[in-house]
Amino acid sequence: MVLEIFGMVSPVDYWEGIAPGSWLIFAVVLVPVYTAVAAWYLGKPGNPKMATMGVVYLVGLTLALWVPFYIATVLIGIIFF
Amino acid sequence: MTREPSEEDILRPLKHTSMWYFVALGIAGIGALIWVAGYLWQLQHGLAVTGLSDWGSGGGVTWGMYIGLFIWWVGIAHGGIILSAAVRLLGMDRYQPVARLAELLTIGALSMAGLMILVHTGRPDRLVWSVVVSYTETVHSSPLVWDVTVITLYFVLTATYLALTLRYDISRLRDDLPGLFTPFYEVVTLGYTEEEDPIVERMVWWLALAIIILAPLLLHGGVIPWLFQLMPSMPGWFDSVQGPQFLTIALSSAISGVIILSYVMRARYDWYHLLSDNVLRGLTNWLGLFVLLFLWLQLQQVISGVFAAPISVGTVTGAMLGHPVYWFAIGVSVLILALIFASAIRPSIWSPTLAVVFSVGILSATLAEKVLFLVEGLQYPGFGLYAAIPGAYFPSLVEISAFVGTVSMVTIFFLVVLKVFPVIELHAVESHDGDHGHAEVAD
Amino acid sequence: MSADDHSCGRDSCGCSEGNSSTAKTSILDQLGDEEGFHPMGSGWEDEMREMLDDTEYDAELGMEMARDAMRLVAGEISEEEFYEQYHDAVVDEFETDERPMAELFEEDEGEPDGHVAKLSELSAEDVTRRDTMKKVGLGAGAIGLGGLFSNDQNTEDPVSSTAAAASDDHREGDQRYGMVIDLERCDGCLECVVGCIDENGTDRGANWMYVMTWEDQNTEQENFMVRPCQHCSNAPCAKVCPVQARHIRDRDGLVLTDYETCIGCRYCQVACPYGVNYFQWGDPEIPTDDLMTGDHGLSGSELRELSEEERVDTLQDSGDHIHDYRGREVDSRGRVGTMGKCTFCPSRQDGNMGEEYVGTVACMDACDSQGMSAIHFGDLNDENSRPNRYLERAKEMQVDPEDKQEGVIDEEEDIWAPAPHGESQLSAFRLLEEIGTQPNILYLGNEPGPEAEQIEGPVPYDRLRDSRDRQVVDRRKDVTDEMTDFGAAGD
Repeated sequence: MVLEIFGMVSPVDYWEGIAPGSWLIFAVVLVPVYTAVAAWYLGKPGNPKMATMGVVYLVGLTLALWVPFYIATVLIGIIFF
Repeated sequence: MTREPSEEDILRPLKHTSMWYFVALGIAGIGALIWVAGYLWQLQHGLAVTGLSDWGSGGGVTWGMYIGLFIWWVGIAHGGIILSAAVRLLGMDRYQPVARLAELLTIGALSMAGLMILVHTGRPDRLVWSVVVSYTETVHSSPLVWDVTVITLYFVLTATYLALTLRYDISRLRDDLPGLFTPFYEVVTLGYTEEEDPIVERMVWWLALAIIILAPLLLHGGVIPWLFQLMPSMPGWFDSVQGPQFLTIALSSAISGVIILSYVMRARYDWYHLLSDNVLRGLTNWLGLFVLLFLWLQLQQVISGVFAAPISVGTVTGAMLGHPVYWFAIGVSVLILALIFASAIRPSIWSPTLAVVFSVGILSATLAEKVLFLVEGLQYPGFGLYAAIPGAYFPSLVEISAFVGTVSMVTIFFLVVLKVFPVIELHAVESHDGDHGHAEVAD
Repeated sequence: MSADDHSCGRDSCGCSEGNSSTAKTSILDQLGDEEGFHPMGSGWEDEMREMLDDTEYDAELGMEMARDAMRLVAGEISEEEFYEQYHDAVVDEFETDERPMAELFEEDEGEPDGHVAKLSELSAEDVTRRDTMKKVGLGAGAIGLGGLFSNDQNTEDPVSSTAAAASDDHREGDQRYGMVIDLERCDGCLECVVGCIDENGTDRGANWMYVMTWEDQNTEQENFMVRPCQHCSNAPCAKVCPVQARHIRDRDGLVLTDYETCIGCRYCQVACPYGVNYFQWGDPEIPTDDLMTGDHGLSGSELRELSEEERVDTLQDSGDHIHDYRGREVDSRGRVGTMGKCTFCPSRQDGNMGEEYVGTVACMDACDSQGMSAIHFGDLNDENSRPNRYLERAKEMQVDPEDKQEGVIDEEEDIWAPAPHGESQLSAFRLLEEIGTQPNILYLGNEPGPEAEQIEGPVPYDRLRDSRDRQVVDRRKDVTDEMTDFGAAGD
């Protein structure tokens, strides 16, 4: 009986509906980051000002990484392409 | 007999500069310039200068040493998180003096990995723009975009971690630091008050927790192997053991990197009491554990590849087992593992120099194994009808210059940082002499 | 009871409200009675009914049976009841009742715990929506409706129709360009290869169209594999592209690379199972001016600023051979550092080359001009397109299975003799279909197995020259190596 039921399960099409990347990045990979930021605001000892400073660090460093990177690529484009 | 570590110890690189410093800077500078010349040549003539070519009727291999170096550098970058986690999350205080060095290695190594992505692309001029404008669409399906995402996260989290811990040190050591970098120190310590210490300590703990999940499990045990593992058309790659396999290689390379770094630093700055033999010996044992896991996962792959594998999987496994580079990687790993085990039984076998030899050996083995994995994966595709398959590939001078250049640039990065802020945390010396008398929350 | 339900199950009529207020809990209630009896809703039922109407058989009978099959699955009626209720009607309609029950029923008589008993043991709780659908499919399959419930492409017979494989989510347009390639007609002359090089100005060795001569160790037979891009409906290259440069064009399913967006990471090349991609490793050998760009003098972004009508006019008036109707740079060989591959000639399909070129590709023209006509390009969704007409004719040519048995046994010698394998035996396949790429090239002829090997063809590549008088090259690496061979670089 049980075997028959298992046999009748048809495979799920993972690409229909939510694509793998959507849940992988936003519901798995980013969970540790959500948790850390939430803990900064909600955990003790803590205060919102410091937590916000932490978030500014995260955003600021992301920009500090990508903006110069972007400028470098533009320069490469101007000189070589 | 043991010397007490002091503030003076950690300030030494900032106050004294020997002739060797300039020699190192000069050699690394030449190494970096060699790569710059190679890359300029590539920009001028296109990737044709790399020896890569099209797989299929083309008879080449389309990804080679650049991607191999990318994987290798991300692997080394894991040193930071392992050591920080050991100290911060597991309370293994004896590794505290190495923690910041390892975090810096993470920043340097990740930068080199990012650089390899840039160097690898045919159109670096539009790399950032094209990726950013299509991100909201491509993140749902492209494993390469997942990589960019997770590497950015790892970089930003580690840099935040470093920046937050620097606030404490720089605000206290401010008077002893060189005046040249005053604006930098002011930005880093902006709004600092002593009341924030326990709060920052806790924030840093949460960050460490986030990174320890993100970096090993989702980066090197995740999106990087998935670049390959998710391709059903390449039987050498389509194998769910790749995640753990990549991770053991990353951890082995990372520990090796930290051992080499510690060895050089303690010799140069007389830090034998901070980066003690005990620390190096402990790191060597960790290295042994990760190498053991690496070999065990190789065994998994080999046995399922030879027993009754589908023809395509059997072919690529056979090619791997027939390649001298593979046996170099495995042979070196087995030998080092045996010696590490032997030194556990008879401690006199071990020496700090031998630990460095092991580390260099493991780093060569992991780079060789990763490049071979890449190249052979592409050489033995599922659709092997083409007479030009397997194609041919040998790293060109331009690609080898990228190896020399990235090692040199990481060296330069360290040489610069040594002169800007202490590479050993103040906490590491305070826990002994209690200079500033701060009660610690975590330890 | 069933009569009542018939009257309200056929469409989403007003009586469903009254039904749901009664105390009975049938599978129909659970599935939402107001939506009709089928779990996929009344819309689905209407479609089913339409399809049934198109057949020569009684649509109402089919719908009633499907409905009662649901009740059977839910355990509301027994197998026996189901079988008996429709037996006479089925025999009337189809002259025979070939439902699997007919046999089972006879087997199981006097044996209560047989197949039938087991099936009816399933309680309604055990039945998920998906399972239910499957079993309804089973019931409907009994009267030849199985295909209605299954849109699984892999089970589909590739020969039945190329038009049947059209279920693709990414696609909005009606057209789906593809090819039927009759490998039996190919003689390995490589004219298609040269035709493609001439059309697109690709570098030496970048053979977007590539022809392999191959043999299997078991046969002496010389076979061909004509390999353009497969223009997959589920293209892995488009999936992995980090910048959406490699994409499937909505209007007609062409898999193209936007040369203005591509960053040259080559992940598409890694992900493609067929090896059809050729990277622009260095500066293109043929300058852009030689590509019949047209003389409109507008850049890609300027073209894209025009209204579609103006843009199409501009492209067609100038015979632009680089931009497609969207103003995207997708045709001819790419720029340095970008990925190239067979494009199915979008500027031809968009009318840039003139109306007479729509629905043609360079390789097919070359093949036709040699009198071979092995390549048949066209809209696979159009029954009257060249590939579909060719396929129909190929099927008509098939030898009757009865005739095939003649001569199988050599009566005199009493041994097995090989069956005749005339040219008209139709064998069709899609390349590496099991990877799930849904390729849009259908091959007629011999499929290369895992042990097949490419051999020297009747015409070697290096014997040919293109219209720009360059030698045709088989192995691209021989060309790309010129850059790293320092001895040669000095020349």
